[in-house]
This record gives sequence, C-alpha cells and structure tokens, in this order.
Amino acid sequence: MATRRSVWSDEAVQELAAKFVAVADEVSRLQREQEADCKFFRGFCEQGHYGGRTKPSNTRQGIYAVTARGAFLASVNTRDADEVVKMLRKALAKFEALPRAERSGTAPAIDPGAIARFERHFPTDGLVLRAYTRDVARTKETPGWRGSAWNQDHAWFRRDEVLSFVPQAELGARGEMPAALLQRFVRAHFTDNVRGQTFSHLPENVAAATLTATCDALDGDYQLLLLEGSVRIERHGTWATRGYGPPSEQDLGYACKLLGAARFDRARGVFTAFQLLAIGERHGATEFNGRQDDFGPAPMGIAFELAPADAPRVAPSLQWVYGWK
Amino acid sequence: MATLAMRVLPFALAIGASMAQAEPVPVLDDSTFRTLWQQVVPNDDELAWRRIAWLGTLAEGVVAAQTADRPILLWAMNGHPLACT
Repeated sequence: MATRRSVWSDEAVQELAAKFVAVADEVSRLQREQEADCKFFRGFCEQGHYGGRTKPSNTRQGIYAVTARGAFLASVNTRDADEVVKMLRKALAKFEALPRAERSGTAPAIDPGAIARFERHFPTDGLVLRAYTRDVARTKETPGWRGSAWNQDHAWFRRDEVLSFVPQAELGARGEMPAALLQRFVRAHFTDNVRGQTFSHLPENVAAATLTATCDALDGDYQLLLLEGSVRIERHGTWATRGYGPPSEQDLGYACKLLGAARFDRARGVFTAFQLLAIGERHGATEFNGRQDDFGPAPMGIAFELAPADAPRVAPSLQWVYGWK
Repeated sequence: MATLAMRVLPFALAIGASMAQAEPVPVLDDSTFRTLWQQVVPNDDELAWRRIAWLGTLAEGVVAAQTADRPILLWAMNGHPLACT
C-alpha cells in the first residue's frame, strides 16, 4: 500500500501513466486460475523482473507494461517512482516502435464477459460502499509507513438487501439490518487490515452486532436516516502473527460503536448519501496484517461511504464470505 | 546474594512488558463524529494515486488498450491494489 503514495502519487509517473491504459488487478488469481485473462497474464509475467531467476518464487507482483496482444514491453517491482518512470519511458519507446496491427491487433484478445470472476455480481442497483480502516488517537508511535497506514476495501449490498433495513417513511420509524446480512457485513468488513491483509471472521466470532436505521427527516422522495449500532468480535485460535511465522495460541477482537447518517431516495430505491463510522478497540495480530509489534489493545476506526457511480468495480477483498454464486 | 526483589524483578518486568496498556478509545457521538470521520478517511493528498484512471480488471484493460491503441500499464499485487492490499 506504500506504493500508492511513493509511486502512483508522483506527478511524473502520473503524466506517463496517462499515455497507457492503467489497470490494477489481484495477482494471485492471475497466477493460478485458468480464465483467459489469467493465461494472458502468464504469457508475459515470467519476463522482465522475474526472468532469469535461479530459485522459484511464489508471487508475480509488480508493475508491468504490455501491449493489448500481450507482448511484454517492460516491468519492475519497486516503490521508487524514479524506477517506474524509467520503466514506463522504456515501455513507451518499445510500443511506439511497433506497427499498430502488431501491437494492438484488430480485435480484443480477451472477452471480459466470458470471464467468471466475482465482479460479475456487482450490485448495479444496490449499494456499494468504500470502506477505510485506520488507527485513530494512538499514543503508541510506530515509525515508518506503518505508523500512518490506512487501507481500503468495498462492501456490496444487493437491492433486496438494501430494502430490508430501510424503515418506513415515517419520522421515528426504525429498520434493523437483518441478522444474516449484518453477520456477513461484520465478518467481511470489520477486520483489522490497516497495515495489510487479514482473514475474514467466522460466524461464531461475531459475539454481538446491531445496526439500526431510524427515519430522522423526510424531504419529498428523500428519507434521512440516522444509523446507530455496535459490533463485538471475539476470536480465539491458532495462527501466526507475522509473515510465515510459527502458529501459536492467539486472541483477537474488535469492539466498536457505530454512528452515521444516510439519505435514501424512495422513488428510485437507492441511497444517494451514506456515511457510517465505527470507532472501537481492537487487539491481536494475524499473519500478514503487520501487527506483529502492535497487538494492542488500541483504538481503530472503520469508515464506510457511498462509492461514486464511476468508480472501478472492485470486488470485496473477502468476497467468499458473501456466498454469492 | 540476590535479594528477593532482585530475584523477582526480572519476572515482574517480563510480566509488565507482556501486559500492554490499553490506549484510550475516543468517544463516538454527535459532537465527535466529524473529527473522527476526518481522521479515518484519507485526505486528498493520500488519495493522489487515484488521479490515474485505473481500471479494475486486466480484461477491461485489454479491451480498452486495443480500442485506443495504447499500451497497458498493469499494477498487480497480492490483494487487489484498488481494494485491500
């Protein structure tokens, strides 16, 4: 996540990136699955910075430049913007030296509609939230990027799920998010991923959860909702608390209060504004979430806001919790 | 000869080190909501990387690049770079 700031926020990188079609994607799936886009990726990922190695490596993470036909142009795996600028310039020069028919072909090499990935479940007429996680009000200082880290994800709700917790259009009317829906929301999105990836919660880890929407005001077709609730997660088990470290008996948890507001358009059946904030205390660490020296207890916040309609359609990180087939 | 305190002290210090002090959790209510919200949600500077017009799947990028006759810039990470990585 440090690359977001060190590389992609750099003006020289951004100027060059505008000459490309910029894509971000999850590499584990591209490395392993048999879909057309995965095979396309594996056609070039062994060239460049992973080429010529004498020992096998497990990941193909990096920054690649290729043609629409899958011809390798250049690649690098770095957090250094200057290195990326060099790579992009090299790639552009190679691209421009190729005839159009050779570099881009006459038709797309992949049909996105034929690829079965979770993004096909994108709830176009439902609710898509951006979720941000970050430590708040810390007294313990952590040096480096981990001390100011934040992360993001996306939470999805189908239209029928949205309608299930919107109250009647009467002042004071209350709607409760149904237990099964709330459990999914909590298992997938009330996780400590501030500094890195972590696992989803199991159903039995959700010790308590409530989320209530109360009709606070009415304005034509719009209904203003007050959102209130709380969540408590308790988990005990055996897992590692640093990357590839030995598993041992562990506890983790997060107990938080929820508060927010939303505006619901009853005529269209969609939210036009949504802000929900969780503030609470977390403890524990997992193998890849960067808490090996910061078990807490310590305060952490999670903020959910309405995603813009034109935002990239990116699936929830812990999508398997959704159970959508 | 070590005194009782000298013998106990290392053990007491070890226990003390393992018992992390809880850090106070801010109160979330009407009066603190806006401040806490701004502390959690990234600011414009932190979101500068979004000025690049990222697509979210390689397949979309292949189609767009073919149509526009432009090269593809792919940022591939464990965990989706536009989600949780």
